[in-house]
Amino acid sequence: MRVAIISLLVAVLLSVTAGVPDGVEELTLSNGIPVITRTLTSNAIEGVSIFIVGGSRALTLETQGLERFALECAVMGSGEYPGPVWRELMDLTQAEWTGNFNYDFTRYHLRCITEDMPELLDAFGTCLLDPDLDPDAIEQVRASMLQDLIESRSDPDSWIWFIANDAFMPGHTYRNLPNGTPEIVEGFTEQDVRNMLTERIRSGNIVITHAGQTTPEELLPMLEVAFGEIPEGGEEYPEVGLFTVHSDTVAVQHREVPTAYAVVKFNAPPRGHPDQQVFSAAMTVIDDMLWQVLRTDNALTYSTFSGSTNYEQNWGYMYVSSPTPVEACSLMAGVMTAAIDGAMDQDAVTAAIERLRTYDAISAANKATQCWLMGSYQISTGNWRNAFTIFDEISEMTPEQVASVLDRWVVNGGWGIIADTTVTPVSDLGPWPLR
Amino acid sequence: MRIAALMLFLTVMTLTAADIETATLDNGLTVIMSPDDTSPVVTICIAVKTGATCQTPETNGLAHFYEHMFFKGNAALPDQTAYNQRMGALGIVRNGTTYPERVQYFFTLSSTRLVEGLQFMFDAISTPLFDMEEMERERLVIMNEYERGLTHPFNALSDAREAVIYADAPWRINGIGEPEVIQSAAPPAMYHFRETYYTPDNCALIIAGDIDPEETFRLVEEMFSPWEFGGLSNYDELPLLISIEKDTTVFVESPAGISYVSIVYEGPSISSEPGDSYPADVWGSYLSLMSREFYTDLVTNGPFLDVHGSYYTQRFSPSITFGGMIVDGRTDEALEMLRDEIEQLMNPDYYDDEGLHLAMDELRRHRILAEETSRDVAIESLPFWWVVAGDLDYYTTYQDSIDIVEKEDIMLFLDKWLLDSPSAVFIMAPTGEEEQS
Repeated sequence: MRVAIISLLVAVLLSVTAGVPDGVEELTLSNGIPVITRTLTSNAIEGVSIFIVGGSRALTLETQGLERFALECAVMGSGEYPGPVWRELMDLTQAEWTGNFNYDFTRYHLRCITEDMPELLDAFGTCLLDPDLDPDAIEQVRASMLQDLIESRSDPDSWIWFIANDAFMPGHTYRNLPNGTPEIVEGFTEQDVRNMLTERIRSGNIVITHAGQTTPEELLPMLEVAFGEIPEGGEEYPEVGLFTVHSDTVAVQHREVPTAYAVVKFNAPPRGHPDQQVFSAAMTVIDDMLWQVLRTDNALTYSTFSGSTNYEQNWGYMYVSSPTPVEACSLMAGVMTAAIDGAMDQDAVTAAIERLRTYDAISAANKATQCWLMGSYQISTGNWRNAFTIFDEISEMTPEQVASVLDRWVVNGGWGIIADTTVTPVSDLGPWPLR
Repeated sequence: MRIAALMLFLTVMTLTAADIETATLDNGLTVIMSPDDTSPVVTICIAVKTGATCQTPETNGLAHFYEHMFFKGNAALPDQTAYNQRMGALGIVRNGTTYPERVQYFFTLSSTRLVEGLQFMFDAISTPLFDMEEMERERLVIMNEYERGLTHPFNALSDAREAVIYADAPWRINGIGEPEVIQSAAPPAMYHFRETYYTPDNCALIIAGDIDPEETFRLVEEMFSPWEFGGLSNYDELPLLISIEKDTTVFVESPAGISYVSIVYEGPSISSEPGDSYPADVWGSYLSLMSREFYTDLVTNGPFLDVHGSYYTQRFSPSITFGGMIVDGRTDEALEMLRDEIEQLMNPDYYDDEGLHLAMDELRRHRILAEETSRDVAIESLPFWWVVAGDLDYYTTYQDSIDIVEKEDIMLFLDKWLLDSPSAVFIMAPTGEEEQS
């Protein structure tokens, strides 16, 4: 890959809120790809995330899994770095590439030693622009994806999240599975891969984030070499529709399992909504309450937790595994009802905030997490700074605020349950109203 | 125990990645500190030389049960609710893990709360109550953890492995334990574990993050010195557990349709044959190279979706394992190819010099990458090496020992541990493939 003429815009950003860290700069490649870099000098490990906007939104029922399939095929080697050369480079650097495929975007994350970053980025760039697409490599990717799908579907703890989607978002764009289905993945061709890459690898679809000791001045030329020739353009995706769960709903899958798994999903503030951060913190309060009620007080489960997503459209969720799903799910719904009614004290709210502060401090030292936060918030809220402003909004959060934000958003729940229905009849398995 | 005058000395060791300082209290507690001011956070971890390997058939699952009770009432906090509330007030992120050869507990919190965090750890580790009512509730929680394990797609394979490779004492590898033991667990067994293993002379306290080592050590000395010396642990005298005396093949049905093959050999124990572990690691690192024969034969041009051949450093259950996921329907071919490849490993020409250098460099890079944050150091690297190797000497001299490994050392290692050695073969495949295999 050769560097064209580089037109660089380096904008040093002033921290506009207390939580936004120093040392973050925004850059732009000559083809318009935005780069957000955070300088962290703690050690010689670098993190770079390449986000490709799209995810489920770029898929249809017939192309579920294609974005992942195409990108996984691409990173098997390129014209300049054919398979054996690419693998030699991976041996030489011990670099880690991690792919994440979700509802709004695909993310490839590179974790490597500082000295190796230029060549690794260059190699990755050639894979995106000039993939080798060796037929054997394509079949290897297909076989690997099929095994992943089989494993994921056979593990109820993994599959329960998709069962809940059946109840919560039938017919919605996000119902398209980023990892596809075995039947669909079986049918992808090399031409499908080429078409997908031509369509998706456009500067308007890409956001790059970096965290590490490499300075912005050093980073920019490296990224320009690697990604500066990605064609301009990109797709405007239609807005993601609202989730329309008009009543409490449940989807049950029978399996002969000794413990049931249950997830309930419900509406949450969409990206950029003023309630988003407070709602997210409120779900941490719920998380503590679930632990106290379901595990500490009633010993109904080994694992229970809650949270909320950070996509264009969002949901909150609660999870539990239990041999007595009726009792556990009923109590789980009761926790939410009690929270909406304000049944918590200030100490409980403060505890959740303190725990979030600890997580925040932990993530500050981890380059992969920093890259994830900046990129995902940039894509989902339009501003990476929002990754760091949560405490501006929740530091003084009160039980009344928690109750109020939950009251505004939590209405109907879409429940997914995997259980042995010969032990617990389907008719007993909810749905349990959340309010 | 009261300690009037402590004889303290701090040993400062500079490593490739994390800097650490160690000291020992008079009561035998090893204190390991790793300062890192990247973020205002500290992780406090206790590593205990215990785990499933200390169990008997009658206590199969109690090492893990004990781990759960650590997070319940103690002399300072009467029950789990009080414990939860205190964790909340301190903003603690916590966990505990029971491994076959160690148990560890950690709390991560703001470094401004180091004093409170240390006190919280001291109360939890040294004064657990083992209240019967709390145990009754916790056994239900643990049973759900057990049931969750049964639903995992690889559970049957894991069970088969335990039964065959550790046939002499499978209870010494089984972390979750047997339901009947979990169901009947009572405080006396917990007290027995506490008196035997949960004493300062059998533990290391690891503190990593935004700390001043001198001040931190002063606090530790003040708080943890009353923890009474035990001297009862038999951990260092426990016998080797892994035992593969004859070639064995086990077929495990996979209703889910997952295909997996592995071949397991006994490996060198780090406590009795530490010298063999260095060529073992270089050799395993060589096999992980995607540009060399092992990978290209079996994955790039073969039926495996991924493959590994590696040595697992342990005291009692060290193993050499080959295996990986397989393309659906190619199980027999995969097993045959893997056997052929293992035979070729005995040939010195299989290994080229450049690849061996790459393998050694890989180990150096791996350690740097594995210790990115102080939390990684506190809960991943240091507890493992302190317990498994017995102290941190092995850890601190590791890279130097790796750097002098020669191809001849690797061939000697292979002659000793692989050539003509019995192995256990595990085949997990969908129903119907058993007859073929």
